[in-house]
Amino acid sequence: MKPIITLEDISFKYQEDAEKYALKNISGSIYPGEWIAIIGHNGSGKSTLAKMINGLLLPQTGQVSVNQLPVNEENIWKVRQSVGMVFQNPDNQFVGSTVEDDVAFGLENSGVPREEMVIRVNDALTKVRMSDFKEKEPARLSGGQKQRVAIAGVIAISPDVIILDEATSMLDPKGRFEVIDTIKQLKEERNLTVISITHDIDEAANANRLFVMKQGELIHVGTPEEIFSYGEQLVEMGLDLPFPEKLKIELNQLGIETPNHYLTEEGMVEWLWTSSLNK
Amino acid sequence: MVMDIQFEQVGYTYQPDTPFAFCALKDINLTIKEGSYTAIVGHTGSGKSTLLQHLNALIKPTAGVVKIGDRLITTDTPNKNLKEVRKEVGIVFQFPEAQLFEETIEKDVAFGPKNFGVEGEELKKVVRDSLQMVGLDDSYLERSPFELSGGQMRRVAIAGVLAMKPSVLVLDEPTAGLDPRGRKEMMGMFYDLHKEQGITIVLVTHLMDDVANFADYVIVLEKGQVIKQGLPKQVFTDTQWLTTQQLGVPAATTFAQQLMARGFQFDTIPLTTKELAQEIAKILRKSGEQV
Ligand SMILES: Nc1ncnc2c1ncn2[C@@H]1O[C@H](COP(=O)(O)OP(=O)(O)O)[C@@H](O)[C@H]1O
Ligand SMILES: Nc1ncnc2c1ncn2[C@@H]1O[C@H](COP(=O)(O)OP(=O)(O)O)[C@@H](O)[C@H]1O
Ligand SMILES: [Mg+2]
Ligand SMILES: [Mg+2]
Repeated sequence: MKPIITLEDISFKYQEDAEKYALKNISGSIYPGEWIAIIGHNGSGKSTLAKMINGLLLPQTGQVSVNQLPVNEENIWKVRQSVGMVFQNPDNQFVGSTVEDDVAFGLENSGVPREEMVIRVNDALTKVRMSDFKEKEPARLSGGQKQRVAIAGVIAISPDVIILDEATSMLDPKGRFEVIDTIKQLKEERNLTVISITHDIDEAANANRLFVMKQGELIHVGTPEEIFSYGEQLVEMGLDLPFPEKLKIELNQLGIETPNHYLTEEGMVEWLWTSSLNK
Repeated sequence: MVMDIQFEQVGYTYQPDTPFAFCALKDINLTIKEGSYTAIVGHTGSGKSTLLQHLNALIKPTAGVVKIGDRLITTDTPNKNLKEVRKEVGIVFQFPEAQLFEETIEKDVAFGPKNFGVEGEELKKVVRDSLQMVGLDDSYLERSPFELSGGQMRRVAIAGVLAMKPSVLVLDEPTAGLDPRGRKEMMGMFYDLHKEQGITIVLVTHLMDDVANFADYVIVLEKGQVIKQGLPKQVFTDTQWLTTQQLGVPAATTFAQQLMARGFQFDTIPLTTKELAQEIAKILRKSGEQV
């Protein structure tokens, strides 16, 4: 299978004369239908990398390709048709005067006929459960509602790739679950490729592979199991510790020894249960 | 001045008397006690941000009374003379970094206190102290806020509110979008301000672990109404209810329930990892003695 996104040794600085690279020698491939989670501390370069993939920024050296097409000024509009992006702060991404108009905006740009547009807008709003708010002004929605509309705007374009740049970080648990569930469904139905930038360990667990960024470099690539077994080092990677690891730390402080290897929640329950019987 | 904030039968309708009228709060009765750490939880759209804006009279109730210290705020309260209230109650809005605008961080943090007549060396000091409280040293003073990462911009914006030396600090989802370490540092910072300087904290959050770890009072909003309030222990005891409401349950409580399903018995249901560890330690030691 050919990759849908390839990154070939890309490097980037925000100012030519800056000492620090925002991205340094990044290489990697992402395949159609994959779910990739990008993790790393604030400032590690995750958003910069995302902007490289949809051409909001172009690398100073190296090459990004989407669908075998180099991302450059010439191809930018084609790239934007295949890569949709939802940002963290919903307030900066609205243009329409109603929710409906806003979702339609991206489609108007891509020359979709009027009748199909109406269908796609309704479809997208239903998917994110915001149909009831069709005629409302985006500015009057609360944060999580805005974010769902922003996601609808991307879904309506039916891109091949959706990038969620910490897009669920301000949703409530219910909203977060609904959005992730929606994304999962779309991924199944349309073989969507998902790139989610996240600090949420449960969201990262949905991914096929995790990319770990640190100071502009891609330092690890692995499955969730592989990456989660780094234990306490996960904090350095911008993720929270899995709950069993947190509990181990507290138990150790009370003088109770715990296994050194990584335990899932079920594993931890079993270990505690056995310990309580065998003492 | 006693800075209790009291809501008596407060209602708020957006765009009243128009076809777009929307009732965002109704019949709210609550007290935010001076020196407390109060958490406000509820789904998106439940009215949390609308409620917060009443805490310093940024918006005035369309029904009922809000008492801020000894000030009474009603629909008819004129907009003047609210400066004092705004200084006492500092609000950190959602994504406060969106409101940064000055060309240097020093100027941005100085903006609020300057408006209240602070100047010269005193102004310089308050800016430095506030930046230090959020973990940014003097090297940031001359930098532009716009070349910082999102998390750092957030800190600058919070410093701007702290520079007003409020006695009540209102935080609308202050850690949304920060990484876990940044979140932990920031929550620690608010807790220190609360403990060391006695600042009253009002925290809107979706993170039940933060509620369990820090708050001493919880208010649950749903569709513009208070549907539960009390001590964290009281609110979190009914995990079944929390789960049906899809509000989330503290991680330690969820894990404790898994242990209970396996056969563990706890005297009280733990809310924090520390409490859970203590309960487990008790059980393990007891079973050790029996053998
Ligand atoms: N517009 C910008 N101008 C200058 N530097 C920037 C800009 N945006 C980000 N940076 C810097 O680039 C680095 C990477 O930032 P970013 O990609 O936003 O990180 P992340 O998304 O992982 O938090 C950080 O050091 C940040 O300060
Ligand atoms: N300026 C406004 N005009 C009209 N309705 C609004 C406005 N701001 C918020 N609302 C509505 O009021 C309700 C409560 O919003 P908000 O207080 O922001 O909720 P929360 O902070 O709990 O997410 C929502 O249904 C929202 O759509
Ligand atoms: Mg980012
Ligand atoms: Mg809100």
